[in-house]
Amino acid sequence: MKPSIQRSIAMLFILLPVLAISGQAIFLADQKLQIPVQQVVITGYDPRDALMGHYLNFRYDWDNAASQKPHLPYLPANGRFYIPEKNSLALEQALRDRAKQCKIAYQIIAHEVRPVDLLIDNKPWREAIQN
Amino acid sequence: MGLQQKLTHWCNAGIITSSQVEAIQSYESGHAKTGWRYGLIFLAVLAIGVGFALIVASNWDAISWQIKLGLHAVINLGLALWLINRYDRISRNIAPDMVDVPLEIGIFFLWVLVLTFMALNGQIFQLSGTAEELLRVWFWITAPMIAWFARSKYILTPFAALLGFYVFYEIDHFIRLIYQHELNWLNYAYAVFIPVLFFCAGSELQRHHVKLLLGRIFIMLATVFAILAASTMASFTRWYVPESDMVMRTLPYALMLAILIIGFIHPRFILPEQKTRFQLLLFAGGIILLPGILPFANTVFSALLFTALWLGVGYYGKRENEVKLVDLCVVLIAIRIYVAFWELFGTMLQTGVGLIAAGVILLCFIYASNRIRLKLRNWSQT
Repeated sequence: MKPSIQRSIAMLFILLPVLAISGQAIFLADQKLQIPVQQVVITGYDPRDALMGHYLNFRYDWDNAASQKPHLPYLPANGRFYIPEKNSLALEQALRDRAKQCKIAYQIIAHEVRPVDLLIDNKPWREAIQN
Repeated sequence: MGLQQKLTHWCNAGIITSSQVEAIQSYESGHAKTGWRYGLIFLAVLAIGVGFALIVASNWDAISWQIKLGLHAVINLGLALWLINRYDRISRNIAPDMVDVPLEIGIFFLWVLVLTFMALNGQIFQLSGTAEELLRVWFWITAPMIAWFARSKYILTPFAALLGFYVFYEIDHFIRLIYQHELNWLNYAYAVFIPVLFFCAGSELQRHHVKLLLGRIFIMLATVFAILAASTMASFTRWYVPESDMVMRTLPYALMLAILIIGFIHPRFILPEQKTRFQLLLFAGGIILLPGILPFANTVFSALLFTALWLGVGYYGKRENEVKLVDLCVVLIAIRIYVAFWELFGTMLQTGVGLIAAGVILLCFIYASNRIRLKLRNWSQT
């Protein structure tokens, strides 16, 4: 095989994963910044799934009056949201407080509900657990 | 004795000439300097890397998602470009199968970094996929890179094992997508044909003197998988084959026949030094497929199949002078015979006399298998 062909193949193989994942990140970042954010009330938050560690598992309450229902043929019943480990305790306490309303801010990307943020009493969770 | 003393000694003994002594000395001194320099560069880069990682880790939550992604992309891209550059330089100077340690470490890091970048994407954009899907995409997207660049067994062995797993997985996934239900007969088709496929891939790599180590690993994995599959699946095969479906019932045998013809009648496909291993592979395949065509299957039959398989493996071990393999065969056959004994006479355990008899029989088995093992070991050494 010619060295020039060999070099081209090597470049293709090594850049393929790097550029593909970077491209995905750029595409998702663009969607995140462009697509409008809606909110949905979440309920039934169990203690976080021990196996998944960093994820909060919840149920969407699409029929709640405070929820913004998207026009999708299929609405997911459950969802999960990534939480940094060091905030988990404070967040868990906030979520267990029944007086507080919890919502997920979401976007519709590729006909899928994609969580963007967790809101506690209409405040982003980082802000809410500081108070 | 130091190198200098050794060289003087060899020179005095007439083994090497004084000009060779000088050449060796200059080579060694040049190398020693390079070694130190690389060692110090490595330490400095490591210190910078660890320090940087610590700063990032302690401020992880405070860093905006754009910076996290941007930084990761830059690291990945930078490493990829460095690897291309390094590959360019070394491919002209070293043999295709020689390992360049910095390149190997770099490839390994890039392999891992692609995965962490994907995980970071999932974390930041709250993607709903599972870890299983993430690993699957990661493997396939990086597979050409690893197959092309990696040269050491430390990367190529796990890579080949993962490749075997994901080839299964994809075929299974594809079939389920088409037929919308499980086709258990495929399990044993995998157990026969995927190892054959791997064997042929390995053999082709060796024939063309490309990626020789990967070729060897493919062949080794194919043989190990076929033997393991035959050990565990032979007794179940009968239940996997749908009685009514004659096409599915005969297809694996037709394919097996085709492989036999390719392997033996057309010698171009199998290298002479791989012939014994290929025979072993086909033998294992035959053991897996056999219960599918025979009208009976019971405990004694499956014990006999297992014993036949490991006798075959033992014969291969003896032919290739692999003593440990012969030992393993004797032990496994002894255990299987003992298990078969309990499958037939398990009710003996209900009485005290039965328990004593079982213990005595087990001791006899241990003694007999040890004797046979030693005898075979002597036999294979002579």
